[in-house]
Amino acid sequence: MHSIMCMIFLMDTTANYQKWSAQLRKGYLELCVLVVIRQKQSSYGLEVLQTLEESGLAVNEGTLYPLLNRMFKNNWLSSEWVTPSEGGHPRRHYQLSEEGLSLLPQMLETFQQNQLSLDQLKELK
Amino acid sequence: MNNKQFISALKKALAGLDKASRNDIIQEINSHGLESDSPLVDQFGSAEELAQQYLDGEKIAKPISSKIWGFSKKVLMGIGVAVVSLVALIGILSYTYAKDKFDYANENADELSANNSGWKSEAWSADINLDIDQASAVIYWHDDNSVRWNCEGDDPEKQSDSSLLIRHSHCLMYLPKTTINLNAIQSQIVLVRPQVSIVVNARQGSVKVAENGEQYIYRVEGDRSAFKGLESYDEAEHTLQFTIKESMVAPYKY
Repeated sequence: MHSIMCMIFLMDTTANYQKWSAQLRKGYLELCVLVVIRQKQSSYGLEVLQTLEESGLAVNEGTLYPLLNRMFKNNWLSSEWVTPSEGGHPRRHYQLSEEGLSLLPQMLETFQQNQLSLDQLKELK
Repeated sequence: MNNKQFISALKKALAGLDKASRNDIIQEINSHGLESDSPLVDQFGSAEELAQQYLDGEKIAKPISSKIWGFSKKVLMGIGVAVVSLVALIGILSYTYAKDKFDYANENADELSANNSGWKSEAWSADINLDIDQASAVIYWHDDNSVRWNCEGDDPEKQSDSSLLIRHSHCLMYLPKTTINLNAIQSQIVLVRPQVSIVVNARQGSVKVAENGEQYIYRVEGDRSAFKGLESYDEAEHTLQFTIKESMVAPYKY
């Protein structure tokens, strides 16, 4: 067990692992953001960020906002500027677009299917 | 860097984006800054890095300054092409006009006939000290006891019974087969098949030799000078002795 931890630690320090991790994380993060916004129906950057953090998924601000922008450009999200009823500055609220709404179930299914496949592989003898 | 400066830097770094997208991004980041406690730079890193995250994969519009530069570049390129063309034209014209009027190595050229107008001669049987000052001279030898010349510019000036001076002129010249000492300053000399031994002192000029099949013994002392393309033969009858400074001695080529 100790040696496995050491290997993971060593892998963690390699650029290849970081690249792999970033690639895996990108798609995963998009999926999580879509899930958050669907659950909230409408949400803005800081709220999405806090929700993800509360779920144990720490994300940099410099990653999240450009990601939201790309998802908006991909037509997965729509956005509008909303001034809170209690007053204050306007926030950019995101909602799932029609495309995002139809895409999310497929993305979840794909992710769950991948997870299932991995679970089966791990049980392989 | 405070939030205002960060937003300003971000706006600048996003200059390539379309205006609507850029405004949305700026307003959104500004809104985030108003709600969060820590400075934007601590959360996002540099504005340029954040902008790069946005710009990756985006179609970037050329900023106005680039458009102006693009136009200026075309104008400058046009001027550059014109200048290069002009220089090439000047080069061609210079080459055309600077080129020898005929092949000086051709000893039978019509231009060398004594029957042509412009030729003058003077009886001469003594040794010759020929001084050439800021001039050009093409020198031939003949069997006569005379000096014959055809100059564009001033005629050679007789300095003494044994001295001639060519200054600021371009001369074709026949010399008798007597000993010759040639002193040239800032001049271009062509020696066509010399038929006597010659001592040449040249400074800041060139001496070209049209051997026309003859062989010579070359003796050269040079100071910051070049001697190239000529081969010395010990058994040759005549010696061409050069003392040259900042000058070149080479074969004549038309």
